[in-house]
Amino acid sequence: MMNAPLAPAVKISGLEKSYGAYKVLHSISFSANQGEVVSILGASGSGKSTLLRCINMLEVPDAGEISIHGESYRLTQRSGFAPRVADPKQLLRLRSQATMVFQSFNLWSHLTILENLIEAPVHVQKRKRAECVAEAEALLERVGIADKRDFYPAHLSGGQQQRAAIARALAMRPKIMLFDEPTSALDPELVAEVLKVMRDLAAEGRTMLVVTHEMGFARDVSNRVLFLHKGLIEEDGHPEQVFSNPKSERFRQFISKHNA
Amino acid sequence: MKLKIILSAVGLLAAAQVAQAEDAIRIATEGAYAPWNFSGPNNVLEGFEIDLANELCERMKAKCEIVAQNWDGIIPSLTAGKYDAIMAAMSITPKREEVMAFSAPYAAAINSFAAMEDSDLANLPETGKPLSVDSEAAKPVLEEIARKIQGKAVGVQGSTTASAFMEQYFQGGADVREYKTTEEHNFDLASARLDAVVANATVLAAALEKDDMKGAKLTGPLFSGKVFGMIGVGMRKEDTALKARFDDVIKAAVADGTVKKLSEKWFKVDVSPQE
Amino acid sequence: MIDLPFIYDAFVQLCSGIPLTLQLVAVSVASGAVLAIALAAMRLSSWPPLDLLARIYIFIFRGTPLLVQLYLIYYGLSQFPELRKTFLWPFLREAYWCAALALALNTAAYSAEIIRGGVLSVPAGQIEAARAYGMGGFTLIRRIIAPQALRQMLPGYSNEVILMVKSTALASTITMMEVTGLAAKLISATYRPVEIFIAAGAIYLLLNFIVSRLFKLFEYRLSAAQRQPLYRRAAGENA
Repeated sequence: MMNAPLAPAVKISGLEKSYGAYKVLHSISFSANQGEVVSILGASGSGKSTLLRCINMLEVPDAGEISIHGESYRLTQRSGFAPRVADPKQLLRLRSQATMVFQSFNLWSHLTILENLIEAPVHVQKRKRAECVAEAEALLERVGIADKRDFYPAHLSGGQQQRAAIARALAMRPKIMLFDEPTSALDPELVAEVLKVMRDLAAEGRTMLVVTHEMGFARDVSNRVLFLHKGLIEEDGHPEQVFSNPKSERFRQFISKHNA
Repeated sequence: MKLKIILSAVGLLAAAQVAQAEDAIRIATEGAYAPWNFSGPNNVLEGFEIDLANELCERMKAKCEIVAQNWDGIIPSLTAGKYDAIMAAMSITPKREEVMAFSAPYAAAINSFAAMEDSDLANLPETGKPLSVDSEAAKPVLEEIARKIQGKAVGVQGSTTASAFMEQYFQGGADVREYKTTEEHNFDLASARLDAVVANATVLAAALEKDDMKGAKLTGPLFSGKVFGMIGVGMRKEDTALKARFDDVIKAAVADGTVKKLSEKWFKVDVSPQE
Repeated sequence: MIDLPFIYDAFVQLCSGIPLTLQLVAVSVASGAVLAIALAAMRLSSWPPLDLLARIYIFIFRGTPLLVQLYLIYYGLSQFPELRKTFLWPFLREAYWCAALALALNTAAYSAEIIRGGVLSVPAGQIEAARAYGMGGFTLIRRIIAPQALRQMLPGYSNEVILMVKSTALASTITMMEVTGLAAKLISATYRPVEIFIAAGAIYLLLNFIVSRLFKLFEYRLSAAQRQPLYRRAAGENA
């Protein structure tokens, strides 16, 4: 199976990104295969969130190439200006394939939970409403908040909101899921319910890229760990191997600081 | 001791002031109706009625204060006691007499149309000839004018005898528009928003001499009659003593030719009332 | 002292001015809203000259009295004989269109800032989420930004419409016979300003009561997201 002639789920090469004079990412290259659950670790300011946001072009990189299942984002650049996305239709297609779950949920507050789930499938992917509703109901069942179907986001707990946000991401039928610190904004007692949902997704064999501070998740659930420091990948390997025998001194310090 | 003297002096002064105030007559005028009344250079009120008011006050041996007041509120402010008399080219009409009193007339009101020289209305019949709208002779003239101004935009100053005239004689014919001042309707005549205006002929004649009214002329007869009435001093009904004082001095000023003299000075014609 | 039958009589007579008052409000609010959206878009644009242009417009129209604007449009523009030869003159010749224009230009300046405030109140994270889920351009505005901005700006905007209803009174200064114009005419016929202005005031009060009720109703319908749990849960329990 590993030899199947499949393109990697995500392939990044020579990725660079600066904010003004501050260089966040220095020529990052890596690829993730289908079904891999990659935890991306790093101190704040290490560039891990920027890396994730580049994958669905919420940040447009200054240089480098990103492809999703073999299809590269087409970028264009006029001299003296920052690069821009060249093909909006392609952007839309690739974004539907790699959906993002945000740290602060970012559910649309004027829509009910169900409406949040079917919003992009109906209005972006142009799928049939009835089909989307049925699928959304099944997803809400799966993340354990079927009873909150007609509630508005403001009246759900943080954990429930994040589970709804995960369901919203799933409703797009993505090939890859991107998680940007999905538990960082939650009260400690609510973290577990979100992690359980993510664990279930990992067990299904979904491709997931997770920026996180949850060492437990990184160690137990993911099958690959990336450690970023100052815009460079300092550690890359199977969790068992990197946690027990880190090559990087900084990663050693990082895990001891996080009691992992 | 010193203080006492000062205080009593102040008291005397105050008493004198009160006595004077009692004899002071406050007269309101519009101040925007040249040459009857208008504010000249340095915002000093001038015109036929200002001269006449001063003349009348002198004859009454009264101290007068002349104030400017918007035409709109000129009658309500009188009844509210803001001043005692109105001299603002105000015609004596039965409707006004329901709410106020008038002195003996000091002028006759003559009204006219004005239009642009190049317009259809430039040659209304009987141009420049006096015509009483109450006379038999007026009927065919008014009918012809009614035909000519059918559907035309005619400006008048609101609450004036000109607006009453349009309402009474051309009801439903012309598109009559009401303005706050004659200056505003003259402006719209010059800018072609209006086909004609109706106002006091003396006022129109004075306005037409200005540059921005170039190309406009008086047209049709010089109207007089019941609807325009005579012009008198307006007062509160209860101020009968004041009315009697005004009546006396106005009659005297008309009789001895003073009004005629002032009229010729300001209007170049005699508008003094002929009984 | 106060003559109630007379006030009632005046009220009934002044009611014939309501259609013109409402027309002026409707025409100017509708066209003002279109202009306001354009101005708000300019204010929110990332291109400085556009933003500056909108700022100058708003500065001028918020900083000068509506009466002055009305006079400049009505009497000022007619000063230029050249203008009278253009296609604009058939409109500018009419006091109605001058009044509608002045009111529309004025409300556009205020509404633009209200709209801009509403748009800025939409949380950036929700807009980012919409982009991440493939929304952009008009879909993003229609589905995510507009509904939330609208709810946010509604109280401010209802104030603006109420002000507009009252501002139409100024149209009477350029010969419009709306409620206030009729009142002035009636006063000149009766010399009883107090009773007639009481009647006119009552009409504006009534109109604005209706306007504010309509907005409250609209606001209620749009605020489901705030109101919801008690409301629906209670209904659910009863069912």
